[in-house]
Amino acid sequence: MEDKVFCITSGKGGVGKSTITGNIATALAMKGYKVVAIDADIGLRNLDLILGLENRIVYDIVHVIEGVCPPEKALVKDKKTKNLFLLPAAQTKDKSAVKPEDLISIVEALREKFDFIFIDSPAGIEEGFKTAVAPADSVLVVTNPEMASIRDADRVTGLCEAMGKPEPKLIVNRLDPVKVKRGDMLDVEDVLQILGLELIGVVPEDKNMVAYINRGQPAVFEDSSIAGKALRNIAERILGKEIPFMKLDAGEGLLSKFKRLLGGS
Amino acid sequence: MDYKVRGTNILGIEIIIPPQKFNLEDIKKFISEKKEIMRKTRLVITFDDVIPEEAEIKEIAEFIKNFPEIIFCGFKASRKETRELCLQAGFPCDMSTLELEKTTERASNEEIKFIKKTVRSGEKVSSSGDIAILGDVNPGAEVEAGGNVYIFGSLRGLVKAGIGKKECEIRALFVQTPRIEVCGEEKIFDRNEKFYNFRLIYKNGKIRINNMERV
Repeated sequence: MEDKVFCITSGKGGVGKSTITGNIATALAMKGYKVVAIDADIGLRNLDLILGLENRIVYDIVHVIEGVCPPEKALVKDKKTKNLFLLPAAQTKDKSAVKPEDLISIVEALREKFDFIFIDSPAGIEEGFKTAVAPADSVLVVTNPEMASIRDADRVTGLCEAMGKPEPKLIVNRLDPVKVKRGDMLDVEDVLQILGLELIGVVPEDKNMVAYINRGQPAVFEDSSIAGKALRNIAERILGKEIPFMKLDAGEGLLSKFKRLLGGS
Repeated sequence: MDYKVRGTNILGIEIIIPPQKFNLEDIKKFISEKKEIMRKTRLVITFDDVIPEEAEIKEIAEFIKNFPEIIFCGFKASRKETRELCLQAGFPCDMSTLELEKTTERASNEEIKFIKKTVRSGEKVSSSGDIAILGDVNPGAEVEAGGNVYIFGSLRGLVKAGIGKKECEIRALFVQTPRIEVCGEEKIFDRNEKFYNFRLIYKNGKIRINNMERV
């Protein structure tokens, strides 16, 4: 696949952009690719927490733009995952500190040295979003299976098209098969009917996700995590492999049977 | 002298003669000039707001008989008096619907806009004429048309059709939307109302929805 620079965006906040960015970047790095994750959410830095790198940040993206250090020096190397690097956002500045051309020049400086570059976009459709999307070859839109998030994803898709980007690919996050079966949640089909985008992954709801983030350990490390598996599959699809979508049957798996025995949902 | 020529719905040609251009010699000249394109077609001559003499009507008809290739069908008239005269002279004559057609006819400066993509949330498409969309209209998107709106896809956003007009039509393959505006009037739908093969016609101040399967 030729696309090298991916921007993960959603419009609505809290749908899992940073989590997905961190996990896909880690999954590709685990496969031996040289990956850099750029946190473009200036002022609301989160990606470092998800990757567990919060206490190792020295320089950030604003230092690079101000010329304090070159981009390579600001990169934080992940100790657990070889080949994974993070360019952290500045926590003390805001979105106006980074202009689209700044991010484009940073990405151009890193492009030759890495196999993949992932940009974690901030929520919203203002300058922060426009900056994050500007250097991307391909845009991944994350949505949850609910109307508010779908409408925002639709809006963002329209804006990406207006900016001359190729049609974004879709990731449906936090799908709960039990709720879908009960009719309380939209199905992937319903989401696709409205958005009409190419689906690149469906990530099921995972209760342990919060724990993984708190521990600073991406879910893709966990073999038992169903969300981790889904995220690894997305990484495979980014590499151009044809991976069938996971069957998310409600109440059929051993896990849910076991949960039911314990009195869970 | 040039006259307006247009096709009719009976595979023929209609020549429209307005009052300021009513001149027998000009009409004859025009017919002989255009006889090639009128070959083997049905010809109708329309008097738009013109009251000719009976003899003049006969003269025109006689003149057209010189061209055996043309199938002369008769006259059309926008005035009752003209119609009487034509019938007296022994030619069929229909009352013209010209007046009605004029009000609904597309003005020449109006466009038909083709949109070959899905109209997404926050986007707005507008045209003074008709709009045809090969794609969906998603929630939060807006379509504004002076004329009709045809959607070859799903309609989930807002459509305003027939702005400033008295008649219009909206068509879509699938509709689930809270509101549609036609000619300044509003039609509200229930939250769960869905239509397949949707056709909304606004005529004579009434909204009619047909060709639908309610789900």
